[in-house]
Amino acid sequence: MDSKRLLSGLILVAFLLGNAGISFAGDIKPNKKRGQVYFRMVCTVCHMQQAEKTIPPSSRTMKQWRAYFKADKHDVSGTTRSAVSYYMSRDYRVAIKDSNKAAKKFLKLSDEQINADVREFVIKGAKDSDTPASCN
Amino acid sequence: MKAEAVKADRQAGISRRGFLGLCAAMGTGAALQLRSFKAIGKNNDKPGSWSRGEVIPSTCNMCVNRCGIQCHVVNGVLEKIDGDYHNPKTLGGTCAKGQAGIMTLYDPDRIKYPLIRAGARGEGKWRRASWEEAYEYVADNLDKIMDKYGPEGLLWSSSTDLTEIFFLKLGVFLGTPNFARHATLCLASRNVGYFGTMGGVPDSDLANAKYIIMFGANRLESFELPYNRDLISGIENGAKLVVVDPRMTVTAAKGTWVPIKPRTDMALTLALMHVLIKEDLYDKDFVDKLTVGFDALKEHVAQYSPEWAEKETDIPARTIVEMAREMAVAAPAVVVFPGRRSSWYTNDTQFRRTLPMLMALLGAFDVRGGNFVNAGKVKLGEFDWEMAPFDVAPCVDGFDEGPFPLAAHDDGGYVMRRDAIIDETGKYPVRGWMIYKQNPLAAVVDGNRTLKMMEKMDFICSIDVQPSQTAWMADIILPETTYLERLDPIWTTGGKVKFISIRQPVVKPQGEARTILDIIKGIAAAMDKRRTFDPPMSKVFDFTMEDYVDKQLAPLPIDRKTLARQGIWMPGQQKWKLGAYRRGEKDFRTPSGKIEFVSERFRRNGYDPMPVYEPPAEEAGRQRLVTGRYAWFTHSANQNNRWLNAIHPENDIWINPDVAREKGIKDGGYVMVRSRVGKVKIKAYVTPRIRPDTVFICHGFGTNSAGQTTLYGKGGADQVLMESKADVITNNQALHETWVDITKV
Repeated sequence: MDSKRLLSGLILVAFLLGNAGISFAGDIKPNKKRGQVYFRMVCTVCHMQQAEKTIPPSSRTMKQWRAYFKADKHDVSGTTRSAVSYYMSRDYRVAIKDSNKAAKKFLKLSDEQINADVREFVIKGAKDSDTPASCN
Repeated sequence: MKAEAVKADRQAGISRRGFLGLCAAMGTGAALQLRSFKAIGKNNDKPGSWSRGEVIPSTCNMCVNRCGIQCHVVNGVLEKIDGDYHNPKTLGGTCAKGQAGIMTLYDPDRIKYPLIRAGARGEGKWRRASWEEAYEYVADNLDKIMDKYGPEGLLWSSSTDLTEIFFLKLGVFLGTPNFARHATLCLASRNVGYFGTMGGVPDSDLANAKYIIMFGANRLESFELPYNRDLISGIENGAKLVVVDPRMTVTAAKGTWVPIKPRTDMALTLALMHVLIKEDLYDKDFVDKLTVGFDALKEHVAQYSPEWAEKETDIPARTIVEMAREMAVAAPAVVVFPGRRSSWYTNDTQFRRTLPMLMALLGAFDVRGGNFVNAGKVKLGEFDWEMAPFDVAPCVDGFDEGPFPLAAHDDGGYVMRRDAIIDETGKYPVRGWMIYKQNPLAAVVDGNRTLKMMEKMDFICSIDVQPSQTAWMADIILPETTYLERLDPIWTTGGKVKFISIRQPVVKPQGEARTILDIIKGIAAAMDKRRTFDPPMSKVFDFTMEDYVDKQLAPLPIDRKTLARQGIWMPGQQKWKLGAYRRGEKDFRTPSGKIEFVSERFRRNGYDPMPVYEPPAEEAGRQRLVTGRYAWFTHSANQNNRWLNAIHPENDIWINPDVAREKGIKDGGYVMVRSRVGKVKIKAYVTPRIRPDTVFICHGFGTNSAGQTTLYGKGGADQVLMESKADVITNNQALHETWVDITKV
């Protein structure tokens, strides 16, 4: 009986947490401009320093970017943290805030928000997206 | 004024007559004879053609092409501008405009001090102000508008150039979402048409082509030196040049002129594809490997026969068939030239789609003598900007929210934005207008409507080097230094060769002219006194141009001082490589990764995925107005340059002799030209070089600015006649959609 109650309770908690999570994620409105700034000032800057190579949004298709974020694997070489989400987390922003204006500016934003912003930016600018070439 | 002009000539060290003689001798000011292009190169192959003074390399700014120049300075006076023979783009050549940069620098009409309006707008009454007063005046007005309407009450207009970033950043940091850049005055429809088909606009290997087809593009009078050299080399090497244009331009005169009926270009391209497919002349291997949607294309163009196209275009069916066959023989060494200014018709984006489709059928991509993707650019260091605000309002007209899903939203749509502001159909009022390096009163269709937009403005500020038409209507004019008096951000460019070049001061500024960065700093500091910004505006712009350039050069093995001596720098290892797409090493930036005859981007955004032809409207007894330029003018920027104006003091309207005879118009006589929105009086040029149903007016004349003393009172303004129409997919203004009546005066 107790174990059944415990199990039911755990299922209920899991259900509520799950729903809360879904509800929370659903509230996030991606901001493409913020994602663009974060991508350029955090991701691109570091890539240039570490690998001397940028990874523009147009280097992947929309489907590939979605898969990339879902897989959440940043690097297979083992030289950096493996999760993509880490580089958008508050922990990472705290770690680089003194040397990176974007990390400092967005320090208070949730991990999910920054993740959604960057995701929105790279997918909207993907190789097969509708973002047109500007004059420049 | 005349004495001042002569003095300026002397100060410049060369007379107007001397300049004209020089131009004629070098072939740049006269008929642009084929051999003259070779002469340009030969005259400048060796240094020392002008032996006096210090030689300072820099980058031209008389048009948008940024050729390399060598400036000969004697005792602080610029005496001569040559082409830079070290510059791979220029190879020692420069055009009439490039040489006449001296007169832009020493123009007696130049604005040398801040001027605040002292009468009614456009009355021409100004008072000289100090820079401090000018900054306070601008900040006061911006502050008032922001108080009343928010930062979204401001409109920010500018055109592409190396220094535009600083002006744009001021708008961004103030928080306005309303920008109106030059894309929808120029090339937006070409960009989107190519983007929807192959993911970008390719370059053209004109020098090695065997067949070159240009639709309306007038390369030899648009004067981008590498293109001109390559085009002439290509012709000399035996390439056939075919120019499809209702007017016989200088470019058309160097090849075969195909005088097409205006607005029917798409009928011709569809018919050419019809012949290539029907006669089995297309490149099957290329089509199989690198395209999608061929079967749909075949079915689609079956209806567009040469006989059908003859009725639409006035080009004989036999000629269309010959063109297709000749292209197929020359393929793949065929250049289907993408063109640049594509602000022609309301269907321009769909027409532009057909150009890469034709190219693909010929297999004329990623191959010697065809179209290609250029070598990329030298990667410069990024400047570490402060963080800009994000919570900005939506655009006044909703341009970024849906009506033009494929357009470049950050550039804005000029015609739509103007309508929203005048008619107050936007989301909120816009009452302040900051303008830099742009002359919208001349550049935008229906100039009278642009005047109406000005009437809506509580405040207009123009930053310019001369009293342009727009500056003349402003409340304050802030004088900027010319390109010969300032250091600009580094320019990086591609093509067959990638390199960087420097634009640096060769003489001290005239009067109190200041660089745009200094002007922005002044306004920023004045704004900080009135409002609280995070970060403070002064902090955002707390750097020098030298700091900015050093940051750009940081990743490269060259410093600013060395670059200033050399003028250019190029990486040691670079090769113009072809074949990557054909080998499958690269794919196209399209949903399918291939060239799309059926555009997925167009389909999913509700447009015809295949270009569908619609016949143009006819207006019996009237002529369609088209516009363009002569080789010595850039937009409306240098018609007041006295040396260039001397080549062509007054514009005229090209009229076919049959039409002139019918209307009793004589060559050199004046006519009144009327459209639905305006009228102008202008001199007639009666010539068989234009179709009877078309008239042409060279852009940039008919100024309302009495401050442009060389130009004022001369010629007629084409934009006053043009109706307010735009391409349906990009909102790119349509300059060739106006019909006019012409009567003898």
